[in-house]
Amino acid sequence: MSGTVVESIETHSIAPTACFQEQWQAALQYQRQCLDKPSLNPIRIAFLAASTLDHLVPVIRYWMARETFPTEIYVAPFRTIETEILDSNSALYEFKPDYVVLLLETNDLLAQVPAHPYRQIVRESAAREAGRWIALAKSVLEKTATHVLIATPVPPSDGPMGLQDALSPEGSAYRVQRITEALVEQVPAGITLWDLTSIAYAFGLHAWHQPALWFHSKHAFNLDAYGIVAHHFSRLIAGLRGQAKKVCVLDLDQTLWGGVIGDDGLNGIRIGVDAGAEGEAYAAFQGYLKELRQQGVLLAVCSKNEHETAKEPFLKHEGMVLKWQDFAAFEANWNNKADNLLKIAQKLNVGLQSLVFVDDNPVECDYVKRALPEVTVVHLADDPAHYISTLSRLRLFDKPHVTQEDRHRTGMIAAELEREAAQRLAINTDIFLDSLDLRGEKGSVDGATIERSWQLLHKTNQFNVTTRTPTLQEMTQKSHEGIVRWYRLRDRFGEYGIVSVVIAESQDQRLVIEAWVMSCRAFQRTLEAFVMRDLIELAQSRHCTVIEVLYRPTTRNGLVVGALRQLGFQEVQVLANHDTLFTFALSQPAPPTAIRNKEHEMALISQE
Amino acid sequence: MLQTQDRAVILNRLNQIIGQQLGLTNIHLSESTTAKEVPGWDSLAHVTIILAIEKEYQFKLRTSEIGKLQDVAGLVDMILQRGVIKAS
Repeated sequence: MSGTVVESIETHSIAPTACFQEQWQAALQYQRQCLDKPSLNPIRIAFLAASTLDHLVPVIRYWMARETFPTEIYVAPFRTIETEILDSNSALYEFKPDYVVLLLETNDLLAQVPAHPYRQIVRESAAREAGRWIALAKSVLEKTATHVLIATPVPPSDGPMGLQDALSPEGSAYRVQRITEALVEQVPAGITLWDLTSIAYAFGLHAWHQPALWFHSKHAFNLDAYGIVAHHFSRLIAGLRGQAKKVCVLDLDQTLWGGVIGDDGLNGIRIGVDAGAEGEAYAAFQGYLKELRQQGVLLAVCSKNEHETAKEPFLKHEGMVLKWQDFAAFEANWNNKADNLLKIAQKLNVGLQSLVFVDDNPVECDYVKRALPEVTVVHLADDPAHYISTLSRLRLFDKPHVTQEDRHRTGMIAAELEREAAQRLAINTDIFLDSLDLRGEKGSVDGATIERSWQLLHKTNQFNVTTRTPTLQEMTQKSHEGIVRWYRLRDRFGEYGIVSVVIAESQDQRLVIEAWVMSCRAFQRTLEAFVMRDLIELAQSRHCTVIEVLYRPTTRNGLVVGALRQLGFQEVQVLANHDTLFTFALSQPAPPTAIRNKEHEMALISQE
Repeated sequence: MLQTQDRAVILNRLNQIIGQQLGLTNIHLSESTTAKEVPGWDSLAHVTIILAIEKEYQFKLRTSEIGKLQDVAGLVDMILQRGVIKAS
């Protein structure tokens, strides 16, 4: 970090929660100092928004210099987000930003995701709107080497649905939440979400929204929140640049437990539920530190104590949450803490700027601050109940979350989960099926579809009417001579793929179904009726008067009987081996289906 | 407890507040000064000045008022009318 600028900032060390006036004064002061000391290679950040950022930017500049590195900031003209992104010659790209930040405007988003009584419809349009912004962000990535941040939208505080606003799909808070969810699900590499929503909730949603300022000058939120917003942003960028702190060095007495181990002894220190409220508070703090360790933060101890005395609680005390093995370094001696910190940094092979020193003693804190200015010092004051929030809200260890989610998971499986969810909420089947917007496609099996069709014939057990399993060769032969049909299905959530296959032959005036399978994925979609209608057409074109099929019962395909009857088939004969002959007279009406034919153009772009 | 104060006392305090927001020491605004005449008092600074005054005197300007108060006399009037003048 640059020397002189940071020094002068340290003398005005305001807290992120300080009011706007203080933030503004600090920002102005920093700005004045900067004028004679231009920074080498500042971090370049571009902001695109539909709100006024004029007062936020200087505060961000100040916090960025404090927490990471000086910046140069470009703000696109008000409400020019799309044009700046889509025009390759815009000022945005000329600026050559290292980071591009999109601040989405809640009212604009809500206009694209209108209220609707059906949750799946709202979820659908939220996904579409989120997708639109992700696509815009991606086009930035295509045009310049940068990293894009999208700020999550903040719900309005007085939505029209009142008590139901966050719970009902007609509420505005509900719709904003669905948009955020969709952003989280869709966000790809190269784009990071900035959780502005959580900052707003922490600040207080009612205080966050300042309608008078919005109407007057399009400030998106209370200026008193600028400190925490700018601090949060600078820690996010620090995390992205690998500058999250790596080691938490802790004092022991009155930091990890109540009391002084050297004086009170193993049984006298207060830690754990048996030691009352104070013990519980320290145990909670230890639990928080343990979770930090789970996330890869190294823990170390730096204490003025005899080594063996300091070690004992970690090995023997039942109330301790942190154990000996949780620590990567343990310096308990009577040397000064600065020397110990240097030793720890060396042992763990990290720079001093990766260390956070946590102590309840203001004298020790002050000493370390002066002896080792690169070390971040956290003074824990008063009440252990506040230790977690004091440490946590400095955002020192925060790193961007890398999801382990398997991105190769096929779209079909993800879509299936969504369908299941949608179905559970449906009022009745007809409305549900209609809302799915089912589209069917059919065709004769050829080179491109034979493999998949043959696979389906062999692996389908439940809806398998005849259980005939031809070899691939037989099937290929049949596809040239007789009728071999595939059926594909999609709905508004996605593609099902080929889900039904029929092998048939016309003999005299009968269309004989030799094989008919249907994937269980496509049950309850009226696909069997869609197939039947195709078979009826084929039968008619071959001047058949009846369709017949020999059902062979197995332990698994019992549902076929009911399905055939529902389509209009009738049992005609049961053979000795329990095979049952079903027929359908073509004079009967074709069964109705909820599946519409896919348009020809869509058939051209569909994929296997 | 409300105390009636001189316009002069308020004017003095306004000089301090506005000076601080604009980063100017020793400014001497009179009641007849308008925003246009003061270096740096643009729409950006106007918002910070209004917010500082609201905080100091503990009242909120109405939406329609924020943009209209572009002269010092108007500010003094507003403070006398609506502000909470503390004993200093």
